Amino acid sequence: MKKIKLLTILFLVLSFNACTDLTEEPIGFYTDQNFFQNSEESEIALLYAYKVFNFQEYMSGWFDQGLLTSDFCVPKPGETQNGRDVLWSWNMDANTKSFRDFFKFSYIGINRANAVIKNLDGFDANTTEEQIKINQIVGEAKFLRAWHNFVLVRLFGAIPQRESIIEELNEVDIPLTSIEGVYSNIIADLEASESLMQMNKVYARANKVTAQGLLSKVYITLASSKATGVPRYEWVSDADEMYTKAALWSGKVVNEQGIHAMAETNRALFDYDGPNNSQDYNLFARESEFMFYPSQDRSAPHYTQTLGNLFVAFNGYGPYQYQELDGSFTRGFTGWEVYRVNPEFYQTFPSGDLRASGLYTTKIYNANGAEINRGADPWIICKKYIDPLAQWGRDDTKTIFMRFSDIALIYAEAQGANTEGYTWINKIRDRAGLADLTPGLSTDAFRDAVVNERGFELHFEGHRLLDLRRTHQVIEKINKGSIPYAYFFPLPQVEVDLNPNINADPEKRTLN
Amino acid sequence: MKKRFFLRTGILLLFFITTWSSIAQIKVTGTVKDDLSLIFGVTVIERGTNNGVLTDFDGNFIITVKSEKSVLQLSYIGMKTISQVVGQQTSFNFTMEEDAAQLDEIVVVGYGTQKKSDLTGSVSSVKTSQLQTQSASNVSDLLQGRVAGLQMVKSSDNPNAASEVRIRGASSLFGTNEPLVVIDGFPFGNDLSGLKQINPANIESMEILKDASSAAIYGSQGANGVILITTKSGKIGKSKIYVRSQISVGSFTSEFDRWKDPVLMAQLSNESKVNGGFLPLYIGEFNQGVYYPSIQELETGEYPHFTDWTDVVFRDMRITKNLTVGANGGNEDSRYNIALNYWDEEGQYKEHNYDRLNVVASLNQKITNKLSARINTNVTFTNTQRDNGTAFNRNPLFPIYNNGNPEDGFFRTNEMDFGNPVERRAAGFVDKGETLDLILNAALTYNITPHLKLQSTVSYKHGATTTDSYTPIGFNNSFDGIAAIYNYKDSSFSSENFLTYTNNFGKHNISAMVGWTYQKNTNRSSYLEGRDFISDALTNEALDLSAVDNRVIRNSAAETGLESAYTRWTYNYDGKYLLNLTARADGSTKFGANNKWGYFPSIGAGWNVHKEGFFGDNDTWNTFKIRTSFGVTGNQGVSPYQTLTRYGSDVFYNGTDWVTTIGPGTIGTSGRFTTFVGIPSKDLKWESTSQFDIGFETQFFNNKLRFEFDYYIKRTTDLIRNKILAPSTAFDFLPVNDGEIENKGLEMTIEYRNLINYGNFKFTPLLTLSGNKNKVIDIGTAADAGLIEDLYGNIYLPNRNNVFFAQLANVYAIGQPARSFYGYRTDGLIQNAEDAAGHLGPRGIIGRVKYVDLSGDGKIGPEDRTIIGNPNPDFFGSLNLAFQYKKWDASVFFDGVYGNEIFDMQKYTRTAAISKRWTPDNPNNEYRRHIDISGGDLVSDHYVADGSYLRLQNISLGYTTEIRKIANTKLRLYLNVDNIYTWTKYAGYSPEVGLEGLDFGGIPRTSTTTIGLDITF
Repeated sequence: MKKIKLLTILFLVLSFNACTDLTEEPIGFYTDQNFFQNSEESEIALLYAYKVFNFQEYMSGWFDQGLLTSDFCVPKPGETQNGRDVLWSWNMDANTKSFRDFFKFSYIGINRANAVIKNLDGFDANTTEEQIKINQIVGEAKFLRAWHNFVLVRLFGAIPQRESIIEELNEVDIPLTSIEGVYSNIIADLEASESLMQMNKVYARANKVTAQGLLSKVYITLASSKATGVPRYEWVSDADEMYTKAALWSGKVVNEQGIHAMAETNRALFDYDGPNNSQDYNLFARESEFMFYPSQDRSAPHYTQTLGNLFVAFNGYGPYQYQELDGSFTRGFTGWEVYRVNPEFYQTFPSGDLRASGLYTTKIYNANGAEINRGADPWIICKKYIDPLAQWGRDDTKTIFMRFSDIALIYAEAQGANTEGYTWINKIRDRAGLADLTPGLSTDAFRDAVVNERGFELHFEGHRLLDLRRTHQVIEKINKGSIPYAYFFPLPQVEVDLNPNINADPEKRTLN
Repeated sequence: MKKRFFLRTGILLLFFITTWSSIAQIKVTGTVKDDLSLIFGVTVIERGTNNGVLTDFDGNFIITVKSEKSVLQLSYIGMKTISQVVGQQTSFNFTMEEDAAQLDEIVVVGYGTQKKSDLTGSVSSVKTSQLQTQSASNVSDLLQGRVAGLQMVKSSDNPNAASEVRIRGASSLFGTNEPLVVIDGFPFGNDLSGLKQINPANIESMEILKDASSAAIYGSQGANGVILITTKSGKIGKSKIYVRSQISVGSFTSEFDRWKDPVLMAQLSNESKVNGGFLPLYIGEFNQGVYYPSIQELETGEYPHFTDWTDVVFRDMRITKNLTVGANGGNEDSRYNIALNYWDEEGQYKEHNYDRLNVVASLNQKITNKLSARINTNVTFTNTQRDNGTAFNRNPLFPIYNNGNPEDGFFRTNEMDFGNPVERRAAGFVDKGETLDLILNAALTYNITPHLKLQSTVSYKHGATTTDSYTPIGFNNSFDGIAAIYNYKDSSFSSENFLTYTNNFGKHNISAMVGWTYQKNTNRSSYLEGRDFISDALTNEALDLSAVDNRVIRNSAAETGLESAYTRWTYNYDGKYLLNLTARADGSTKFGANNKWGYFPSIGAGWNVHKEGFFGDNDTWNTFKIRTSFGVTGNQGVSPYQTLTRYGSDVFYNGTDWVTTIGPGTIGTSGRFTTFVGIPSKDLKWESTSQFDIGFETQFFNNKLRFEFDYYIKRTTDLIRNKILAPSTAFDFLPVNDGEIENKGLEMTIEYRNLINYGNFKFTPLLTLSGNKNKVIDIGTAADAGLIEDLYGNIYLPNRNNVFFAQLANVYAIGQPARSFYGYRTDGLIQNAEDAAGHLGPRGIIGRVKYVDLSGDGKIGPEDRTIIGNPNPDFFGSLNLAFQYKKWDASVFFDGVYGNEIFDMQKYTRTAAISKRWTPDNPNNEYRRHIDISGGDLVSDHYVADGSYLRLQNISLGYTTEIRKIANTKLRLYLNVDNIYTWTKYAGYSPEVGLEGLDFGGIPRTSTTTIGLDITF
């Protein structure tokens, strides 16, 4: 009896003492506590920042806002996803889904870049090699941050600026920074980035030349915006000074480096499987001209969101073929027919332009080479995003954020109607099978011609609206009457609603 | 820490005080019998203590009591309790009388038992004897309509489908709404699918705890009510062997809705295409590689193929076998119950089979006079063979084989048509799962003194499932064969210790219970997938032979813990005035450092008015009890790790390889809309529900007519919801506590035992009625909850359940019931150009739905939407008619739901509706034009239908007899049919579509006829 009573007391006492700890430990995922900040892990985090470009929301946003809104493109009838119908008809407002998604993913990109920059802040390298590597990583992160800011400021105007990562709820809301302030951050980041990065070409990563190219784009934007009187760019001090700087930086790209060059033919640029495509990315045309693009490969281990589908015709779920200029056939794959070439603009291509005949078509063919009937008035397909070896959810097509020809044309525009300017625009025209540009034009007329040439060269790559905006031609070229938001899209309503630092009334946001 | 100290001291003090009480002194003996014979197994206890014995085989008992003042209390199921003061006598002969009142029924409540008459809470007991005639693999299926306040919806008869259960409405938006299941004291979690492991034949009793006074003892797990299940233990007496066998045949209650007339089908399809401006399909030409015959070819029979795919895919009759064999017996020292059950069920799909082997062993062993132990084990092996995802809605004009000739191979519309069910069946698909479930429960009870009892339970539950799948070569776009193995393991451990003190001082009866629990859950999973194989021969048995490049490997794990302390104090004065207090503190690992602990108290009071002097003693009005309670329960149904920063990962192609990348922000949901989460929510805490209940129970006519009524109000606050963050933060959501929901309702139960009692014929009806009104009071601010305010003052949050051409149908609107339907109002169909005003473009085609321009702005647009329906019922109820005549028994059971609306997405997929469509020759105002148009219809009240129904749910007939020649063998033979007929206006297969009220289609329901034979010998 007594023994049992004793045992009970013991048991009670023991069981009450088995104090358990209610702290939660993470299992199977990384947190800020267990992801160490050494240089290898920072590079891994940098790659995570690059992955933002692969999201459907970013890819679609790039085209919906840069291409679909312009005079180049017409959407599939009845297409309402992401607000494509209102974007094209310029009936958009702060609630249009595409704005919110693109805005969000750009900030995700900024946040991921900030994580890298923060972690490497004050990092002491042990060897020079390691220091070079760290510099490269920081340089790329700053480049990415500047990239996102540059895209956002041209689309939306004054935006919140994030300098550090968000780790807690109370760090969440920040006010808007003026356009001038944003550009100043962009230029600071790009100049730092350019000096930190090496001049090595690495697949899908930025390098010194890429930063130079982007700097030239920043300056040309400031220059032409000031020169043509674009609203809210009045603060730019002097257009000519901007043109000079644009010429300086684009000059470095065009004349002072050996890793990127113009491709020999336009067709080769967009040939994902032809004789010009190979695993040796250092040598061949496509990769040499492309300066900044997302990582995307058809060897993806699982289904990914692809770009190519959005541009091509639907013909059941099987493949069909396209015909090349030389009569041979290239395999194509079915798609959602979203982005279609505006026939009115297509007609303005100069006759004999190889870009028009080689990169656009209305015809598709079945396996036997017989033309497939696409109806009475088939829409024009852009062939820049067709990977012949594509499978469902796996292809090589990519958005082309920056390529050599783009910078070459900026160089020409910045130089004006002088020898250098004419040389480079003629190189572009020559490759397209066109005659030289009329010599002896005035500076303004020459610059107009270059911008016009940009239209044909960079057609369907997502630059059009931004080019029209920076040359004050939006309303005229789009030709849909007086459209709202011609130069700056409204800040996404969600941001305005949830950020107490942003005044709900757009009129009352005093920053320009 | 302070809490812990006081608790410990308190318990030790209690312990020492009570050991001062003196030991028993007088020995009393006696016999007990009923009208006919001596009864064994009668409980004889010394009232106010834990001192008790059971009568032996000869009805004898011996008990040692404290003093002459001690009161002996004898109780036995179905008999009136006898109370007798010991006085000078030491030997008694008792005769027990049948008790129709069952007031002294003992009811299992959390951490103990109580007499039903002493309860202050709202507790319903389910008579499992009635339920054991029906055939069901999961006991939750048997709860439908049995308990007032408990709403059960079963939307599928698939053997692997679970039913949804709500007790007194849904009180959480994003957390779980399922009640807590407790099996033999082991809290199993808020998940009814775990009940699959329990053989209904092995259940002794089921109690449903509905209000705060009864459920608050379970604290953070009790907000949705509690289902307490007690499994059978051994009974004292001669060993019995029992066999329960059932065979059931199930068949569809209605025909499949499919095209039987190919000509009509083709004509309607052509009409639809032409209306939409497209070329018709059935014109005798090839379209994308498939030949579609012309109407004429179909009419003349020139096109010979017509396949009834539902016949190919489904079984007409499904057989289920259920056999339980067990033994039960014991003596005062040792009681056992062992049983083996085999369940073999055919699913509706031809390939779908489900079988289960369950072994149960329980032992109650008295170790010393004061110490006893109980061990329960429950092991279940389950095997599921699934249906490989065969589709049955293929075009009936497609043949099974090319040209209808098996030698020409299987028919496919194109090389990527993987849907031919016969081809799939013949190919080597693998789609199966095996599960091992284990429940171990060991309890030690120590009667320290006659007044003080210590119980200590250790429980362990373990479930491991392995799922095998294989997709053969030729059935996937990208790979030649896909093989996978998925392993999932889930285990829970809990340790509970509580002390109970019972005593009485004159007419004051008190009891106090204090205890402590620790629970830990872990789960782990791993998934391996290989693609591209040489052949199908090895299916998924050799994943290492898959192509090296395309393998998928994933694993995950999670751990959560819960620590609790609880207490209950009850007091009653002479069984007249009742008071019940409970309190519980729960600490969970899921919440932040500031909020780990939640406190859940309750208070209940009752008055047995019939025990008062003024009530009198007449045969007409026998009992009347009023009770009321108020308390707080909680909900911790949120995923773990929300208070930690979470990084995400992705893969990046670097030109040669795919490398892993890690960084801030992890994907919350993916698919069409990717969302990011990962900021820690450090202040996250419990949701809490406070509930007020008032009710009364009364009996008339010698306790034959019983009436029970409850009114309750439940308010849930600190609702966990996702707060939306500004896009410039780079994150989408953060869980926060901010929201409020209210449920109010009435429950009523009326039973008239032996309403008709004529000769040997008896009739007992039982009616239950419940009505619950649900209202969303608050869910955050407009901006951070994504609340939208429309022109009509509706402030709502869309429920992210994509239905109907990517439009949302359910919303949480402030001031409205949860999940109300939101959309456009309609006014028939567009009959002419005038009607079409405001309808832009193709919406204005004549014959289409006519929407109402509520805003008056001249066009139909998002500002014309408002609340258009409510899936929550106004009330639901059931009626059970039980008959008895000598050895025969029968019952007829109805259940019904009224006032629930259904958003009928299938309205225009039904052949009947399409046939009645609007055409210029048949310009009606109900069935819209059949038109092939992109964009489809808008969410509107045109699709909202009344889902009220009355169903003849069950008819059963049984015959019980004894075969005295073979040593008291009892035999029961019965026949049972369920889901016989449903009276409803709803056009779909079944109005039971799920608690959100969305009809996602599906297949007809099943009616099952069961024949059973129970033998006990």
